[in-house]
Amino acid sequence: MEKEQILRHRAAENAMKEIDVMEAIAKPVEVLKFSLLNRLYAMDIKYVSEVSYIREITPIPGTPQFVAGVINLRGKIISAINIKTLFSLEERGLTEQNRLIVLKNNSNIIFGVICDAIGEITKMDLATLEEPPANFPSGLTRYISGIFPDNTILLNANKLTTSNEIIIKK
Amino acid sequence: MEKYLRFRAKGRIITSFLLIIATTVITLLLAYSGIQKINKTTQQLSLLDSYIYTLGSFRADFNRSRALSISLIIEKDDSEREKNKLLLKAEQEEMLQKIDETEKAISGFEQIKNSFAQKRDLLENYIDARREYNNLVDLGAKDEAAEYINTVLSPMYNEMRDAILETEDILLQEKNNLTKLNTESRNKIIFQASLMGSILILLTISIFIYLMGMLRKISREIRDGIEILANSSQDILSTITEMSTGASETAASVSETTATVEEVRQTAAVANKKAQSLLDSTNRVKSSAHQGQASLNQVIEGMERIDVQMKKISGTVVKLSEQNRRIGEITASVADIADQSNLLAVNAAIEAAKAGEHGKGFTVVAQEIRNLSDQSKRATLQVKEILNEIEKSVNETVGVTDESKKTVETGKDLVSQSNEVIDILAGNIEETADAAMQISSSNHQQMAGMDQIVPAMENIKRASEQNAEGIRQAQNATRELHSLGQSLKNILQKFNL
Repeated sequence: MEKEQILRHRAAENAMKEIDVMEAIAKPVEVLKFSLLNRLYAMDIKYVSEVSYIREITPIPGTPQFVAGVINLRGKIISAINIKTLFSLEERGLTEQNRLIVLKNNSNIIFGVICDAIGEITKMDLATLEEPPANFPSGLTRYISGIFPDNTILLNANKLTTSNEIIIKK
Repeated sequence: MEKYLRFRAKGRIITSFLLIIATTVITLLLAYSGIQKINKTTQQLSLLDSYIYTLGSFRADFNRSRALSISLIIEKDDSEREKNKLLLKAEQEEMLQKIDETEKAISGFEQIKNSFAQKRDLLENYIDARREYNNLVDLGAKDEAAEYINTVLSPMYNEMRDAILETEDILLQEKNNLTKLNTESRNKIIFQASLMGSILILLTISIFIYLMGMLRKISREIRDGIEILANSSQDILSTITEMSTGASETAASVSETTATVEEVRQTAAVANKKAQSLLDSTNRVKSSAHQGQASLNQVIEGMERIDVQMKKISGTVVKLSEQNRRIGEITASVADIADQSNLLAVNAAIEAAKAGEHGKGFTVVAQEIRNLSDQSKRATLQVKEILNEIEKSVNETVGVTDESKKTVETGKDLVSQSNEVIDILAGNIEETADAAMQISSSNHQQMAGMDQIVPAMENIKRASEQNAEGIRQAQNATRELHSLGQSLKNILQKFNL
């Protein structure tokens, strides 16, 4: 009886949380899905400028480790960030299969993040988003908005494009 | 060698006897010649004796004639005187005659003959002187006559007497010589005879010893021979006994052999049948082998065709592999295009999303393009999978064709070997057929031989019976031989040789 009461209480609490998240981001959002190490991630499409091949990457000395180098994208030089290094994930090196997602925020900060494969563009309901588990690496949780029920991790593109860690300005 | 020995022994004996005979003959001859010599000497001695005798009688006559002549002077009576004269004359004549005869008779003694001739001369002289004396007496001159005697006749007489005495001496000396010679001859004969006799005795003794030795040796050898004879006859007897048992065994064996021959004949008949059937089956096998050979040749041809086709397949497969690769390339480029299409679709969707409400239709189009590119991608993936499968299959096919090639080679080899084996088999079968033929013919001969064996066995039987009879006779003969040996032994013991 006591256990039942505890479980009911916990369920009610959890239901309350969901309602809170739904209240916070209470509308469907279009996301671009991509994969890193067989795990699906998603990003708000408002921050995505385009996707591209990685034809040639030129390493830049004196940059942080997560900066893989620079890429010439139709005459524009943009820096490419290895998101795996940034998130302290397992590094497997770059191949032709890797794709670049070019991000762009309101303040015209443009850079690319390297992913393993581009997925689909789909609408996700932010109301179903859940908090990331506490045992996630801190380097990851900083840039995560939450996890969808289909285990797709939604990255916080705003945070990424405004992060002091990434955007170094004099 | 034996001949030589025999000759030697015989030759020794003969030589010894010849020696004895020769010695005897020589002895006899020597004795004969000695006796002859003694005889001759004795004759001469008797002759000399007769001469001496004659000489003695002559002297007596001469003395008597002297006495008569002297008595002529003394005698008074004339008639008596005349008578004495005549007597004297006759006497003188007789004396002359005697001397003449003696002188003529003498031979070999020249001295004596000469002395006799001298005496004759002396006597003639004396007779002549006496005639003078007689004349004186006739004249009656007695004194003168006496004087004549003293002066003439007496010296003549003395001379005569001396001559006679001398001759007598010579004769005696001669006689002595002869006697001495005679004694010498006798001694010589005795010496020779004793020498020869001792030689003879020695020879005889040696021959006797030799003969005795030989006899002993011979008798010893005879004894040994008899021993051997006894042993041998014993052995022969036992052997003959064994032979006798053997002969009876032979008779039994002959009966058994006859039965066996019958069995063998039946067996030979069976073997003949078998050989005939073997011949038939070998002929069948031979034709089968020929068929097998033909089949194998066809198999070889098929194998070669397979080989050619396998080569063709191999070439085709290589071509297929090449085309597969090219399809792969094409598929890869299609996949690349699909990728690019996907990216373009994504970018289009992004752009459409940014366009907001206006880009909604475009979003759908982009989504469709994306779907198409995804389908293309999947299709290329499927094609790739299929191509991989094809590649795998092609590789397997290549391996299989290689293996097939090898298998075909091996099969060809095997078939060739089989062909050889069948060849050998065919040869063997030919030989077997020949052998069967030979077996059949030898069986025929064997059966013929068997038919001949039966009378031969009869002959053997008869012969063995004769053999048994002969053995009995041999047994008897051996017994006689044995007893002969025993009697020989007894004889030897009896004579103690």
